[in-house]
Amino acid sequence: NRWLILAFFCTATRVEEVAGIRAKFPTKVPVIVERYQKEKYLPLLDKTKFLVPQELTMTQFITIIRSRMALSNTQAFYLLINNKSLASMSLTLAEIYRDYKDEDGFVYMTYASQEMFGGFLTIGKAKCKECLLKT
Amino acid sequence: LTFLSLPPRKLATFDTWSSLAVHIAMDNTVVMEEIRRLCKLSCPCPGASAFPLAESDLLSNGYPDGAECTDRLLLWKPLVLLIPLRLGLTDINEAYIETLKHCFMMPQSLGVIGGKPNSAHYFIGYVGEELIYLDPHTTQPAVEPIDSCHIPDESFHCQHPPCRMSISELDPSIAVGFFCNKEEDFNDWCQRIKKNFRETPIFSVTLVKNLWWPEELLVDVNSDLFVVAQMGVGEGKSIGQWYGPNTVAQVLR
Repeated sequence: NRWLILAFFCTATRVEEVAGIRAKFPTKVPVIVERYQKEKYLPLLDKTKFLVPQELTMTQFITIIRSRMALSNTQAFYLLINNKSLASMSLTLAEIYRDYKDEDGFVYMTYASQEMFGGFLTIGKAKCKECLLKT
Repeated sequence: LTFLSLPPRKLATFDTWSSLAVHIAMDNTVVMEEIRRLCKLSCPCPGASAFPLAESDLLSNGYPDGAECTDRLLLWKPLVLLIPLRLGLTDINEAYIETLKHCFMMPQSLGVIGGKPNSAHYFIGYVGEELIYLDPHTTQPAVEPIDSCHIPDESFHCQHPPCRMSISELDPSIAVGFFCNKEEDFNDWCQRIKKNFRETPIFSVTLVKNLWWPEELLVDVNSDLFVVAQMGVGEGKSIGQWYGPNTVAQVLR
């Protein structure tokens, strides 16, 4: 019961927080971006709450996060909404907000790289044979 | 899993010696312009492959640089298109299964690479709710790359008949592959994607890549909330084209 009450107050606080943000920035979308708990390769973001212009497309938003983490173009990065949905890259954040927002008013996104079953590689010439033949 | 354990674009180098164009689409997005630029190169020069930006990262596969720049004047290089995807965090999101099945049904399909934890498979098709796969992995000593193409590869071919597994067991990290021999095949592929991927797309196809510079749009604020700066839209530019330097920061506290 105590936990329920706590959870209730947490949600209530967040609802209030979102209401405040939305009132102040009606054209921006509050997004929470978290790292998948089992993610081993991608770095942690220094901030988890983002306030994003609603016209931004998913492609642009992902570019922002990629650059925030200083990822190279070749590094796999996936952003899943509510832990399961891929957002179409051409959707705007406003559309994402409409379709996926949580009851507390935030949109929750989780990022992860691709699972790797083979060995993790050092990048460098002549290392390729090891990678190729690992499995 | 061999393919996915490689930073994907590195694979592309392995085919610079052949006339195949290999493209790995990142961020669930296939950019048509990139494909056309890649496939319409008339002379496939090693080192000057599809990804000039990643060139310093390119690996040598034992084929001497500059060896194969012949006078092939191809209008369209046969294309191998690989699209790495993640269709869920721990389990595959069932909403995407039908779209995944569509990939197998396309004439350009090369199948899917993926697996379940600790086993990597090559999926070649499906029956009902089951995937048909080959397991090409046999434990064996590493092969030293040599300068000729003649590495004995008999033991790298599949010696077992195809097996089946339930689609829902599939690990969410996969890569779908397609082969477009001619330009018409690629055009046909684009049409099919547009038609079949309307409901729950697992990747998207766009004409051109979005050109913009996000670094300038980032504004750090002294709170736990991170505000992406409001960007100006230039005169004569359509909405959606963003530019950097004159952005206005909004700090929230």
